[in-house]
Amino acid sequence: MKSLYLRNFVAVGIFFLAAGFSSAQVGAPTILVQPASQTVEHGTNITFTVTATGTELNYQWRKDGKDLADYGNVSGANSSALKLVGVAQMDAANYSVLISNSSGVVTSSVAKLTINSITVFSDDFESVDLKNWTAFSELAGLSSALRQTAAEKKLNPVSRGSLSPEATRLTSSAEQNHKSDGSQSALLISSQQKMYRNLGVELAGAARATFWIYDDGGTQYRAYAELRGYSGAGHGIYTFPSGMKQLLAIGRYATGFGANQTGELADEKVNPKKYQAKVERGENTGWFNLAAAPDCSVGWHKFVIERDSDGTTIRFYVDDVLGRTITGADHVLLDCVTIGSVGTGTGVGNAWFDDVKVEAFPWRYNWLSKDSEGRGLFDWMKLRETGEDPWVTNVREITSVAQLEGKGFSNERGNWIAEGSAIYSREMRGTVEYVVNAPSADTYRIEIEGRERRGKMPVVNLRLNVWIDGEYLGRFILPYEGKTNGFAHCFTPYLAVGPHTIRIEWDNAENKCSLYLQAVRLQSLAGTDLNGNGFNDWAENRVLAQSGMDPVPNTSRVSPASIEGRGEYLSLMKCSAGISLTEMQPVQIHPGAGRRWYADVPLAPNRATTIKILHQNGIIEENAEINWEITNLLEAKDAVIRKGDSLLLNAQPSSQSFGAVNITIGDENYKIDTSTPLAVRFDQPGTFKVTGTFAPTGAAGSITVKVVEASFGNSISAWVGKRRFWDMDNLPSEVVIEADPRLKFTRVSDEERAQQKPTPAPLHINGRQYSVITDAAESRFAVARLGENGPILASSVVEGFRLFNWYDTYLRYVQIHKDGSQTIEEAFILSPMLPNITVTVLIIVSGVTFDDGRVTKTLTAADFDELGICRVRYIRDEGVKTSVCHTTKVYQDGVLIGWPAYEK
Amino acid sequence: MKIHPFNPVAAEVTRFIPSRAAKCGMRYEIRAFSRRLLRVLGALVFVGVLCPKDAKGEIFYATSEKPSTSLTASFVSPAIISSTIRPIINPSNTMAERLKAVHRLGETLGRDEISALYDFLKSAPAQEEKDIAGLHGLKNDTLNVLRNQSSAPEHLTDTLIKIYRDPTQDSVMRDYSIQHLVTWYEQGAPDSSQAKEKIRSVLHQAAQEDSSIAGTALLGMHRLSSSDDAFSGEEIDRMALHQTQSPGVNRATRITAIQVCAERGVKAVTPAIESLTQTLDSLPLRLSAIAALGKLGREENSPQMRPPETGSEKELSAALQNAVRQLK
Repeated sequence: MKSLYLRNFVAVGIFFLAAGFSSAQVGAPTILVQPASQTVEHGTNITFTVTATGTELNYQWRKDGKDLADYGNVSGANSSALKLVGVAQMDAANYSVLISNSSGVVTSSVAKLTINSITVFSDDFESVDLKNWTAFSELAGLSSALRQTAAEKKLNPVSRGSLSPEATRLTSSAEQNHKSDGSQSALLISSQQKMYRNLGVELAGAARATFWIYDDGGTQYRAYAELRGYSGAGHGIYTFPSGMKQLLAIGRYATGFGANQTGELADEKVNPKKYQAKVERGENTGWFNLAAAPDCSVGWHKFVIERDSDGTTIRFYVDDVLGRTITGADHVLLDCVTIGSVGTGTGVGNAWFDDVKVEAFPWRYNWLSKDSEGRGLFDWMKLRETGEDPWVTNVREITSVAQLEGKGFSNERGNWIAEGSAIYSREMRGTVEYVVNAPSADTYRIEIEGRERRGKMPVVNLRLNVWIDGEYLGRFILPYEGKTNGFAHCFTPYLAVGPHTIRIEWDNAENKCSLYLQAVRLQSLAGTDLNGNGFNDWAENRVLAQSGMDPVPNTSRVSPASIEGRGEYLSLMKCSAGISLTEMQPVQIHPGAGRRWYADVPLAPNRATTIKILHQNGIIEENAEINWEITNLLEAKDAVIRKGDSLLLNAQPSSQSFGAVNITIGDENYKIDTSTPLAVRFDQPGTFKVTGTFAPTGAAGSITVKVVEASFGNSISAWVGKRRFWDMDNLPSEVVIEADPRLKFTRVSDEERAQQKPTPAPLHINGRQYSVITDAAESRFAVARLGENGPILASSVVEGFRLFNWYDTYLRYVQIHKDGSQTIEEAFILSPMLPNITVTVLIIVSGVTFDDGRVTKTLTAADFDELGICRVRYIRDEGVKTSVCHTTKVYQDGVLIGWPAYEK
Repeated sequence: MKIHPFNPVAAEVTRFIPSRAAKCGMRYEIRAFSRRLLRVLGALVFVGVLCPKDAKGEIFYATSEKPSTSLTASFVSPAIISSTIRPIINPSNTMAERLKAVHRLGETLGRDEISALYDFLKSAPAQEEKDIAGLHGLKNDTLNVLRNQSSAPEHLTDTLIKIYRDPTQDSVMRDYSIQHLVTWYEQGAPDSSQAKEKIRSVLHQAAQEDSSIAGTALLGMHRLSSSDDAFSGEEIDRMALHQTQSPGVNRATRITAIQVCAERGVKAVTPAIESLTQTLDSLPLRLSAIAALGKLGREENSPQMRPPETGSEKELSAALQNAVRQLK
């Protein structure tokens, strides 16, 4: 097996524990190159970089002043380069970075990210016909069946009418074209007609429409342009209450407002010297003057309707001057643009239009599907999983090296039915396992092909939890479109050659939904190997980013030495230690806080101890040596150590090479000589005076050893997204808690705790309370350190879970009985199943019981089936008009930890 | 008869009743069933747990009570309705849109928004309201949002009490107001210093109503008494016993009162419930009695826990098994 050999001998004092923690003096950070503002196209990948000097720099990027984290399309929030995949208006903001180390903090200047709009429609009227536009009338050509009542018209004044034969096209005219390049504009000859164009897309949030309209100063009575939103995809036949939902108009209206359907805006009277605009639906509707815009004048004018991202604030501009802002407009998807004119009296109204443009400012970009390379490897996945710049091509080829049909599973849980080569689930949830053969040791991608069996729309999130060889790879969404299969991808750790078990859990709560699994593949991604070491660069970068040992100091004052590092596949790791590579003993590895690990390595006295770490089935081997430092009591400083730590004690003057030594710890006396220091293990917490005397000269010295014990108490379970409190047992003041950064984790003050209802049980003497919100139904760890960056005393886990109730699952009739009473069933789902969780369901309405006749039910793990489903049945008496109203509360060890968002 | 899935059946009810005559046996059977179901559903006004959710999953559509008065949505001046509240009260929006708007409200509503929501809650359904069951669900979720504000909304207790005491409100909203008052009390009813006292008084009054609301109130008082001595346990016992022993009491209330007796250990109720374990009037009444006898009875009551020769053994099995286990 090839290995990436890394050696690790950097001496950094990460856990010296002399009283009064000290750290090396480092230079305060200074920014050399500030992040630069950028204006980019929608969907672009962008990078903000900062260059700074200083040592041990910590980076925290901020968006509009709020800390960013690596989440969604964001990566590198804590690095010198912030990367955003597929930006959209939601990303348009002011970015800055805070850089800190132990000597200071500096904040960068602000870099603004601006995202250009997308033009969804434009017409410069240079084509030989008006094929972009269809004429219609709102007042003529309606059959009686389609005519609106006055009340309906008030709500929805627009309907479809007949084509307007008068509408035609203007040839080029120097006088009536706002550009002097001889290009053409459009002439609409019309009495009351308009021309519409469906945009083909539905614009939510921010949008802008620009129109150039010629004001002839007299013969043209009204000329205007509009943005519209219909209940269907664009202009359609009027049917109440669908049809048009919004209309935003601008132009020259120049007639009394009161006669039209929606009247004028409050207190508004037409000013014929000004241009006008209109909002059809919302809190402020009707025609109004664009009072702040320039007066009407003969010639071409640029009219702009601009809607904010909130969808409710509309701005109207004339010649780039803001004429009016209207708030409270109904936020409707805009899907149609129109131009129109009305003649004076019975005469025709000629109106000239040019350069119509509609722009969208999409709030989101589908960055999940962005694949810059076009090789089936999404950018975000590359960034997260390979550690590479996603906009650099370095994966040459993706090959399926093993494929199993859906029905080729080796193990299952639930109710799976074969359909051709695929399988589908008859249950709401299920698990299947596949054994795939890795032809060579490598990092692979797993591809899962499938969909919702019936092509359920709207699309449901098919959430798949995936493991390989028992190692959790994460939670992935299987996208699909109708009955077309989609693909979910996830990466494996570095796998040994041979068989491996892929476990796929369909973590579903939605009723009437069936996962259809077509195939599972193991894929090899061949890429560049720039350093020629036989590994694909992407795979090498990935394992190095995921796995490694933090710098280990040359010496440790205590044994065992606490070592730690990055790594999340702990079962694929091996740690061993010994005085030589031939005498290595295994060392247990524990999960640390946030994709990390730690281990306590026992040290040998008088000799260097070799530490060997193998990551991800041995793809990375790291070695380090560490010496157990002698605590010379004649000159040593006091020590604060962990319960169970050992000190190597001696009392030897620097001028003496050998002699007898007396060491006293409390009442205990030990006699040694200077050649064999005394290894003493401190098994009890407390403060001990340790005295050493060099017998030949009587030179004596003593230190105080403070032994600290810490325990979290019971580990906790936390409902994803819901705050709960964690009472920790015994955490003396020296102890610092470090939690997985994916947890929202804050200490609760005594004052805050005193306000809690119900009143919590008293804390232990060294107890503390923290507030915890977890991000996922996964394990998240917290560790207790002896001081900042000190060795780890203890760790505990926060087990995330979700409880789904009727809101996500179902509540349905099962039976109506002869007496008219009904049996109604609700499914509760606990995901994952946690043994110490209880769910209490209390009926709170009269005339309803559970099927056992009671009104109180407590669900424990035993009540849920192997898929995590518990079906609860209610019996409701005939005549009860309310629902089967109940409350649900979740407890762990008697402590209330949450309740559903939607219930009584 | 099994009904699954629910939606098509409910839809069938809506289609058959007004327009089609039963002309063949098959259709008649369906129609008869539908009528029976309609009778059941007509009495149902689903809320909370049975309300439509955001355009997905099971949606219960039930015919419902006619609104007692027909008002338009003009119960609150449009000028003060914020854009967050407007979509909720606007009956021309779909129920899914309105529910979404409620679920977006957040925990820091302004005073005007709260006031507009109070007006919405207190109002009778507008003429345009087509889905009264959905409207109840909407109001229920609105109350959930109000109860979970980061700062207690002023006058929430008074608003709920007004709804309960408003004779023009339908019984479902009055029942919900009692349920939310109980939960609000559990939360400390922090909107005013007199709120708890007012709620206790209202619950006491409601528990003596001649309707199913009495059972809801009694159950609430029972639950609250476990953590608040201001509720007299003896009085709750006495009320529960009275409602169990009186055949004339509203049946839904009686079903619940039996369980209150059982959970409170009111053994005096045993003679009254022994006969109810065999009643054929109401399955939930019988189940409640069986469960209560299991809790309060003696081993010699075990023979009464045998399933009947015919009928609904299956429906009784869970209750009977539990009861027998407890009696042993």
